[in-house]
Amino acid sequence: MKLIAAALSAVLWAAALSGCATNSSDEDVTVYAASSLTDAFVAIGEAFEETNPQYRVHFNFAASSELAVQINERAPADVFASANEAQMQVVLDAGNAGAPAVFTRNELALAAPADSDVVTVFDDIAAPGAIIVAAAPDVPVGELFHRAMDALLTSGVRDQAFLDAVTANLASEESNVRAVLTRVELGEADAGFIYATDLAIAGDTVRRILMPAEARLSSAYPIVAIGDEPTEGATAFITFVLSGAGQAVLTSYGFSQP
Amino acid sequence: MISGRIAGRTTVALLVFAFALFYVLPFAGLVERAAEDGRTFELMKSDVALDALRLSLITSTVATVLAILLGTPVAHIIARRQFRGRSLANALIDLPIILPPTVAGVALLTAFGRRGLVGEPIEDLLGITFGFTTTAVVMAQLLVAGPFYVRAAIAGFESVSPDYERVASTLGAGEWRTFREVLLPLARSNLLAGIVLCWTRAMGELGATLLFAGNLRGETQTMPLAILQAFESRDLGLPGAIALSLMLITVALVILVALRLVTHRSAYEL
Repeated sequence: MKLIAAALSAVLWAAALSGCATNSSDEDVTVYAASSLTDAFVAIGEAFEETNPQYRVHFNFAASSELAVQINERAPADVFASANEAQMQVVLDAGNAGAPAVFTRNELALAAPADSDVVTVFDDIAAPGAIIVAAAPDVPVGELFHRAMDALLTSGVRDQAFLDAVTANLASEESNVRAVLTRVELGEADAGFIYATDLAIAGDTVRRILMPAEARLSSAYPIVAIGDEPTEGATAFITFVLSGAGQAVLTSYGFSQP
Repeated sequence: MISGRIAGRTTVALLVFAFALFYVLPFAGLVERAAEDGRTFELMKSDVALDALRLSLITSTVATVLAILLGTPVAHIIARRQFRGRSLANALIDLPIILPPTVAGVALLTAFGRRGLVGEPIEDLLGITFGFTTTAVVMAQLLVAGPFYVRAAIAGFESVSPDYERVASTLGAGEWRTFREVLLPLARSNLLAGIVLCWTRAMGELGATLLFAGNLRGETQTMPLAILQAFESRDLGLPGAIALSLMLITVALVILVALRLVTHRSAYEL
């Protein structure tokens, strides 16, 4: 027993010490990124370390609003990648970063169950009896949906009658984008408004319905180096994300060009 | 001896005080915040709040009536007859009580959803779907809250000695008349307690409704769903959630007190 305890504590000490060592090293890049970036940024991190072997990337994925608060509370972040401009502004207002760059966008997408023929083209969402699901207006993707509908009206490509028909078909306002996708995957809804990135990971049970160009709105993802004097690693990572290699990874996960 | 008794009583008093404090404080917090916020009354009168309240009252009442209609015969059979599978039937009735309502919601989706066990044939034959309808709200409430009534009704029927029914039938009363004029009045306070529990539980139902019925104002957004959405929204926020919570608490209290009064009076009458 004593031997095991000793061995365990030795391992823990070693882990703790190496943890300390990596944290203080200049070769480490700590990236705070929005949860929607999880899959894409892990892949980008691996590609970045391959081309820049001198750096080690560490990620902290959470809701952008949480990350912004943590950074303003002096969390040891080198880079902040936000899922919207509002949360980036929180960090900028506190004077904790310089000028951000929009590195990618997440587009509003319309999804329908693969085996349903109720909604096969965009205008079917206004057909009598179609069951349409979106996120609540306070959820970012729900806000995007309402802005897209407004854009269709103001640009004149659809009339008020179309919007009223869609509103009448709106069967549920979900609290997050995953719940909307689940409704479509289950076939409960004939179509649902989600992000293009959710569609990319959804698989064969759902298919994408093309939307008019006026409705294809997207939210911008800004990235910034934290602090007055960014580390070389932070600058290198941001450069990589903006490079062709980084953009290719983002595109493969359903993100669109900035 | 005496000091021991005093120590014992002090302990009991402290425990009762702690219990009371824990149950009163959260509600005191709600009331304090609501009183502080000048918008509370305005929020209570908002369309979102009134739509949700109306829907909650209608759906929970329908669910309770259905629980009484469908549950009373079942309770009577379980209380009076011996049959194979009786303990299984008893366990099945308790299942929705002990499981989280989200499980009930998932179960309803797999049974009555558009790809569900019976949901798919029903849509093919009749063209009817349940999801996102007020019917789905009632179904969720009936599944989750109904067992509270059935459980109380079983206890009520079991508490009445079968001798009364035997005497009634030897006096020439038929089965239905015996049930209506002997058993029902004698089991009345249990039945009323079950109705109160079922009704208030139906009004508080959230998880199963959210999963099975969705969330849309006027159609499926009951008070608990409206409270959740208010809490997550920028416009209403916490003040909105507090105002709606107070409305729901008030309605639940009115039902509880009203039916308790009825129960007490019936107890004196007997």
